[in-house]
Amino acid sequence: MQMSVQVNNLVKTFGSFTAVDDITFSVEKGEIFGFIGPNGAGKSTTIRMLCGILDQTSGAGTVEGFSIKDESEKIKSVIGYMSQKFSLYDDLTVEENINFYGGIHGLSRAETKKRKDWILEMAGLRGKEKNITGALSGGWRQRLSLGCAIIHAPKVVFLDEPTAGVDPISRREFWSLIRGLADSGTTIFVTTHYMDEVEFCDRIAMIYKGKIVAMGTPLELKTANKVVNLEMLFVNLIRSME
Amino acid sequence: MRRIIELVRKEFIQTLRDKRMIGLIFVAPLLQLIMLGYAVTTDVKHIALCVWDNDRSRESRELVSKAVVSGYFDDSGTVGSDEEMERAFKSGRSDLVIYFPPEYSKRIKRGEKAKVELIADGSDSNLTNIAFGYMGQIINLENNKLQIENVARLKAAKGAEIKVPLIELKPRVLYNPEMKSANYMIPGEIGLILTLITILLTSMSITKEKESGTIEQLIVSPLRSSEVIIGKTIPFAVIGMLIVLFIITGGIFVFNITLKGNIFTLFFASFLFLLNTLGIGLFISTISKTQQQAMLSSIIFILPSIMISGFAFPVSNMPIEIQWLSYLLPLRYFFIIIRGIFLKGAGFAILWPEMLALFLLGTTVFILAALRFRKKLS
Repeated sequence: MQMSVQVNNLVKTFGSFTAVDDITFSVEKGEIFGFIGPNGAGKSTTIRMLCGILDQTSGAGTVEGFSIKDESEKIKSVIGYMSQKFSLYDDLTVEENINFYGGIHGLSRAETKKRKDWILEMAGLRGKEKNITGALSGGWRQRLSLGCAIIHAPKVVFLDEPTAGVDPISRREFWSLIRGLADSGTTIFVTTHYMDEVEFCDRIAMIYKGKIVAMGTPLELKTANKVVNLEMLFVNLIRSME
Repeated sequence: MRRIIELVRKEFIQTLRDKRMIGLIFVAPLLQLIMLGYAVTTDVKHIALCVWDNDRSRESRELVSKAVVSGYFDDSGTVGSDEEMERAFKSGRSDLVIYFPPEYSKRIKRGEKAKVELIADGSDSNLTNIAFGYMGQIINLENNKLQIENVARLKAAKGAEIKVPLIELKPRVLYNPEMKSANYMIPGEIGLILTLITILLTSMSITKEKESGTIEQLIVSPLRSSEVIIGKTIPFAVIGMLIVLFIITGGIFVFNITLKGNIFTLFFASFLFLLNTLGIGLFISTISKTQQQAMLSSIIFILPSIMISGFAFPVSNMPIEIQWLSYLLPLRYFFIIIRGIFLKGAGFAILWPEMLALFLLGTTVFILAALRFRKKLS
């Protein structure tokens, strides 16, 4: 199986604080890889290094075969990134946001228009093209943000806590969108701190204080550790570390 | 190219949709134009003059009435003692007191030296200097008149030819003959407004993206940092040029200022100047995390640079160290250029050193800011 994301001994320190502490993992093409951990565990920092927003302190990594160290510009053409804040321009309309993201990703006008139709359909925003984005509710903003992040049909999508602050029904809808993307061959790298979302992932890594404390498919982790749910496993692991 | 166009389009939509920005862009220049054109004036007229006349003669009244007729002085009543004079100064009734001693007129008639005393408030040193100057001129004219009368009388009495040498002063002001301060202030306003608006808009539009997190989306997009910089500065350069046009039009049609030089030279110089302000705005955005920080840093830079670049106070009067510092301020050169073009009709042949300075400063600042910006992006 070809690897979409490969990370070896990645470290990031901010002064004396170690945010990401020597992690190694890989993500297969077309799988949903969940990065699970409490706030401040190092999830966002890892994503930012993989996307080329932050430089790593040491270690190596590749995304779609491109090195995160010196090929971050090439990486940017094959990835989509959705940050925790649903980075949309609140003072632009739905349509203007889509046009803008299409434009800066180098899509032609015709391509942007085609993708716009798809995004409006996917996000359930048809008829709301002229609405100001800032006035949309959480679920809509979230789906529009996803649409803008994948407008250029990237090979890998990084989603940083995409379901934070969104109602349960919207969360469920969102995960079925993610599943659809993965089924069509897109690699999904997603972080969350909701344990119930873990079951939607093909494979997960549990991260705590910058270290990976467990990794595998949800079923593997449950049988190997003889627990009925992964929340119990995670709590036990953290307790044993304290 | 399409990526830059999209960025520019987005920037325009955002700027024009924000009511605060509209206010900043269109109302601020208008208010400044009105203030600098009408209200803020260094022309001194209507100096409050009180008379302390211990002579009460035709001669003393004549001198006072000449001062009032000149238009520079307003008759603000009389005082009769030291206490009264002090009260007049303290209450603001009087800027200047003219004191005629007893025997003033008798001494003139006897052909002796008569004395007049001028007592000034002095807390506004500029006004005091000008008041002394005007009154000095009026008294000089009076002296000439007395001399000529004297000579005429002597001539009539002795029937002889008597020559009295007189030097007559004929001042001629070349480039602002009416000495109207609006002629000087309104071209200066172009520099003032361009500095304020382009630095603020540029630095705030980038820090706004930092606050909302959208900057991360720009970073992970295939946009190059040079494209972000160009896309972020073009809209404000265009807005800046529109403001220049607006002020020129207002100055010419509302305040009757004549643009003696070439309007394209003016636009070219404004463009060179914008290179500086946009670069500074960009630089400020790389050292600020929030819009508030960006705004404060901008003001901290803008205020002193207006003070010491010769907008209202001549640079040549400043301590030498401050003059050196002012060589680093683009506004200093720009004030010389726009006033040169507006009032004197100067062109490239004369103003090229200042234009070169603007170009060098501007490219340096812009490149420094762009380098810092690149670092922040990666």
